[in-house]
Amino acid sequence: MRREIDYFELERGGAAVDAQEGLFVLRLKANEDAAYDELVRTYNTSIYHVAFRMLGDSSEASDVVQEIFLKVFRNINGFRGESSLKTWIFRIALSEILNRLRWWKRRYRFSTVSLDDTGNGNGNGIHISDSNPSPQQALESKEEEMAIQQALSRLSGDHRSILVLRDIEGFSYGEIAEILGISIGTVKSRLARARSDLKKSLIRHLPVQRFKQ
Amino acid sequence: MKVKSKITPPLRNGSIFGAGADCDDLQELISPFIDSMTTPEETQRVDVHLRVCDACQRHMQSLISLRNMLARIEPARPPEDMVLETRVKLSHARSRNCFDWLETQLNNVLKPLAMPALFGVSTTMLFFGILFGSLVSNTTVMARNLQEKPASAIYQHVRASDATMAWLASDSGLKEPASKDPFMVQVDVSTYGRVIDYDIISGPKSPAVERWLKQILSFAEFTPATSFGKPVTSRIILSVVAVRG
Repeated sequence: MRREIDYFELERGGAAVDAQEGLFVLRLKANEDAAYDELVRTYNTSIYHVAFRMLGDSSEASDVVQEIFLKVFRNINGFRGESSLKTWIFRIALSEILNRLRWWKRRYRFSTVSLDDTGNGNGNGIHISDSNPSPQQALESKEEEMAIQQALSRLSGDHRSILVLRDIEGFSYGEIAEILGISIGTVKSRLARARSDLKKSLIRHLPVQRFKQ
Repeated sequence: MKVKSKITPPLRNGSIFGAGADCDDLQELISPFIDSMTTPEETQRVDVHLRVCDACQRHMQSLISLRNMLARIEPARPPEDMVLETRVKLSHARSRNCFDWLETQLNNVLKPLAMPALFGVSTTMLFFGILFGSLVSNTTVMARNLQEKPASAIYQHVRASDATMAWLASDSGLKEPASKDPFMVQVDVSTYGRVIDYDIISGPKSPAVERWLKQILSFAEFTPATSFGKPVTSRIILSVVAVRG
């Protein structure tokens, strides 16, 4: 599945969306079965994706996703609608994932990341979209997949989270600022540093650099 | 409050922001620049600089490539059982939550009633305990001649034993009547059912009557009164009437 990231996305808004979301939140607060099913159906993939990119382990990611949904359920009555539901859920998600990451780092100082782990256990690694690749392209793609996962795992939690949110999940700067509880200025500078760090790790795989060298 | 002001130098192509300008400072702007998140002024500064700085140009190109590479990553598919497990866990948590809510509501309603209710129940039990006790006790008195002895009676009165009653009624008991007039005797009975003392409370108190009474009472046997199942000393009033056949 190919996802298009809108880099010019501005802060979301619109009365219709807000009213619909407000109704949905009310249903969640009323403990409605169907609303929780819809919540899981809507957000499980994106939350899992972020969790997996951050943690690099499918079972950990799966575990943390369940915890995140439980936290959402426990705290839904505290949701006042000051931000969008999605932002609020991802704030909980990032907090939980970063906690898990810190716990992991303390426990396994020299952890390794399985490059074959895909998050669904079928051993395909990270997928970079390319329809009908040639054997050469497939090899390069595989190399890239491994390099990205390794490079991500070498970044700090803060840099990893901002990259995943912006460049992989496509959140706007404003949303990232709300999710991480930082200013937009900090988002800009932190993202710039994170991208520079990642670029250093992946310089060999970047077409421009290859061409220039 | 101190305000730190930053004076922005005038834009001049190739002078301040040209190749000789501080690339480190501008390179941090390139990241938001490729996301169109720079202010118009910053955009102009970066534009001017990029025209003359190959290093920053390469940096921008590599950031764009990097961004595109990350954007091409397909989302990791969650394990199939994850959604189901999540739903189950949520369902458990929600049902537990409902139960907790119900429990809290019940507590809120019942707690203020608990003390009065407890007091009411205790009082009722005490009342009925006393009532049944007295009822059982009365029944025992009324059924003096019955063989059944309710075990639950709190107090049972003293009774003349069947053998004594039979003996008194027989010819041997009242062979020679001590007095023609009826008289009443108050008798104290020990825990063993034997006479401790007696007193004639009405009727003649002649030596003959005294002698007759001593003879009678020295052989009389009583079933002692009991309190909570234990024999206690008690008092019984006997009414003696001579019946001539």
